[in-house]
Amino acid sequence: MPKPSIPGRSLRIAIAVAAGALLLALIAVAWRALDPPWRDIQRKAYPADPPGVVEIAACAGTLDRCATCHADHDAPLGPPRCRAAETLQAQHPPGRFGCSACHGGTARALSPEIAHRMPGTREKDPLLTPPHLEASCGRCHVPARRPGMERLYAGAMKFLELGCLLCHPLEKQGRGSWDFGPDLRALGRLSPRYLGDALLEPTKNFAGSSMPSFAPALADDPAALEALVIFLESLALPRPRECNQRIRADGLLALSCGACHAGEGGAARGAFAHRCDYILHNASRFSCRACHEKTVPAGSSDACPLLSQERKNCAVCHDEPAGGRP
Amino acid sequence: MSRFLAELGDALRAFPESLRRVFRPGVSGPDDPSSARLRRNLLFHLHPLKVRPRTLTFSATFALGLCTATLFFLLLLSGLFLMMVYTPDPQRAYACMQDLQWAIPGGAFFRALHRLAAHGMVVCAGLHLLRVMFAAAYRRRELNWFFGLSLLLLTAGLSFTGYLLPWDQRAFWAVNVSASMLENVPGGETLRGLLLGGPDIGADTLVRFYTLHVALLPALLAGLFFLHLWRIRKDGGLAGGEAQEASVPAWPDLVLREALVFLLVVLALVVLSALHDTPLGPPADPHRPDNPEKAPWYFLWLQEAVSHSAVAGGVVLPGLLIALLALLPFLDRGDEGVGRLLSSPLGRRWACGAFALALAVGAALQWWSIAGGDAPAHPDLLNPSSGMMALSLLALLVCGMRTGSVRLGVFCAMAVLLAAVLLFLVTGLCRGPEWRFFWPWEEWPVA
Repeated sequence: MPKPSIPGRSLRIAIAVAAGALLLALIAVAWRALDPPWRDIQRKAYPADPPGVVEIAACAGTLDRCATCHADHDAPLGPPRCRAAETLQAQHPPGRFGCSACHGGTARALSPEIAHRMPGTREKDPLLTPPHLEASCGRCHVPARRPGMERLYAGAMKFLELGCLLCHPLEKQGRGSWDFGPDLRALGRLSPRYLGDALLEPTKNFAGSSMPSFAPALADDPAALEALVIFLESLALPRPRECNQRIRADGLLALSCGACHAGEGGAARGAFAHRCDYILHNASRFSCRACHEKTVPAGSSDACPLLSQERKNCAVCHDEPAGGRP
Repeated sequence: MSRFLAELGDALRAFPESLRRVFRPGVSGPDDPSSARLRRNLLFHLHPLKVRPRTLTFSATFALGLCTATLFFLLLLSGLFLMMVYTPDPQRAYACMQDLQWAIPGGAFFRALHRLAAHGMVVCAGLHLLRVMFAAAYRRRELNWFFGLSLLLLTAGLSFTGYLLPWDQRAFWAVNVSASMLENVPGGETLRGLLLGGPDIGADTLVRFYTLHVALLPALLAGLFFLHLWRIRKDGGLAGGEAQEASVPAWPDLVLREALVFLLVVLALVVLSALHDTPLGPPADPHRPDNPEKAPWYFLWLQEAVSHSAVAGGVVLPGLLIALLALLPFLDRGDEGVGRLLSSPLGRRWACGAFALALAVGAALQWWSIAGGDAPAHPDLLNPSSGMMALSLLALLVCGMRTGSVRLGVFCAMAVLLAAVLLFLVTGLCRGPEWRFFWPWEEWPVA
């Protein structure tokens, strides 16, 4: 004789199964949340004394957690020795700057697949290593002839020399400069190979590209190509929020003349020297009238009267182009 | 002393009974156990004692309202967790998101849960509206129809205000382009300023959106949600069907089904959130716009329409849609076929035909506007948006005249507008840099 059926019996069974599955799923989620992969890395690398999350409040307000897995050079997961340790690292101690300021990556993340990439990148984007590491100098410093960033500086000069600015202007704070080519600062990180292809054979990356090939100028000069790629990489790197290292061109124009003219007492007399590497090393190609409308009176407190047509070139090195917009 | 001890002893002896009373207040009546259960429990109390059997069939409602409510519940829960770690400050918001995503245990899970539930709620609420509309269930339920419309708007508003909070590039520029769509409406500049708290998106905007997102809009939504439920009971439950139908007790037939749907939705969300990786783009940079700037998907059809024409696509099309939705209960005065999807076989033929025709015509119009090189003489008058609106009015007239039913006419018009919205949404998703069209398998140009 069949039992009298309980109302909604199959429903109750279904509910019990769903509730059980939900409980299991929640337990699995909690398990995974409480035992993140970096703990596993630490257990293997530092079995005696796992340090937990290590945070470095780095320059320019970023938080760097790289040392959670990469404690120091002698530890199993320590970073390989930096070749520029003798020169650059003395001025950029990892304890104050963290790793990501130079090597890139997402330093707040604790999983390798995120931490070893720039936030929001198009391609699989490994950390910056030499020589492309030099692109990082451009995050804080104006490209200049200084030890450690020779390639970056050469790339910036190549950029000016080849007239890239004609189609890829760096004006208008990255806004709307798609007249011919896209704004190079707004593309996100691209791999060196992609950038190299874009210069030598633009249709390889995007069949509809109307960009001319720069193979005639660059194919036989791998050093120049590499330098230019490094400079292009530096354009896409995020700039630190609060950093007074990088001079903005607007502020530059408001400086007193003595800031640029290293003459006597700030007066642009005699054999004056610009501090701007670009002007300094191309002086033979310019006449004074290329930039100056008239002779600048010594000790003038006015802003430097650079012609607006010339000002846009400032943006190659400086963070923002000069104030006056056409 | 002895009396004190005696009283204490009595109290201790009575403790289990007192405790039971705390959780089971109310008087036990002489009626059957199922009604007693419904009266004791607040959640069950939302139901009437007896419901019509049709209420139990899945195809009557597709449980869309219940799914929406479940997702709202999940959103409240996960949102509270997210609130504990989030600071609405441009300097810190993105860092909070990074910590949440990668450093705080369970943070990524709750963020994924919140995001998926939010998108799901917009979808479910939208489908719920379509179901109610095409079943003519607004009939003699006008007030609840308006509560429902307000709830849908609030859901979109909540989703939109939440979109900005991660403060990454996608969020920043999506809100930027959505807010600029307001400028096409008369007085839109003022509205935009009110929404953003200034001419541009900045710290003021973030605080404003945060307050709207965590306090004002959820409170309004919760209030309206209970009014919505209250009206369902007051209006006699599910629309349509015979009033004299034999009824079944709400417990256990209805309540258990609801419990199952609730559990399945929660389970699906938990599993999806555990497997899904929530995107977090590069930090917001007001100087570097995303190209293209894309609105959140539920506004993307509108952005596509605005790209056709600011007036026709940005003002008239959404205006027509809202006007039809708001006027529907007053235009349609027939009681025949209420509760059945598209009213009758005739209505089904007309509406599906209009929908298919609109898809074909709309695709042709879109193709013409994308591929056709020569711009029309009057782009404000001749564009896909205005074409679809004309088609929708045509469908209203033709179907209304031929069937002699205002309801079927409006259904046909809505079917055309629905096709337009879907087409524009898909086209919007396919837009690349400079708002140019790219098929999903085509790569966007970068250099």
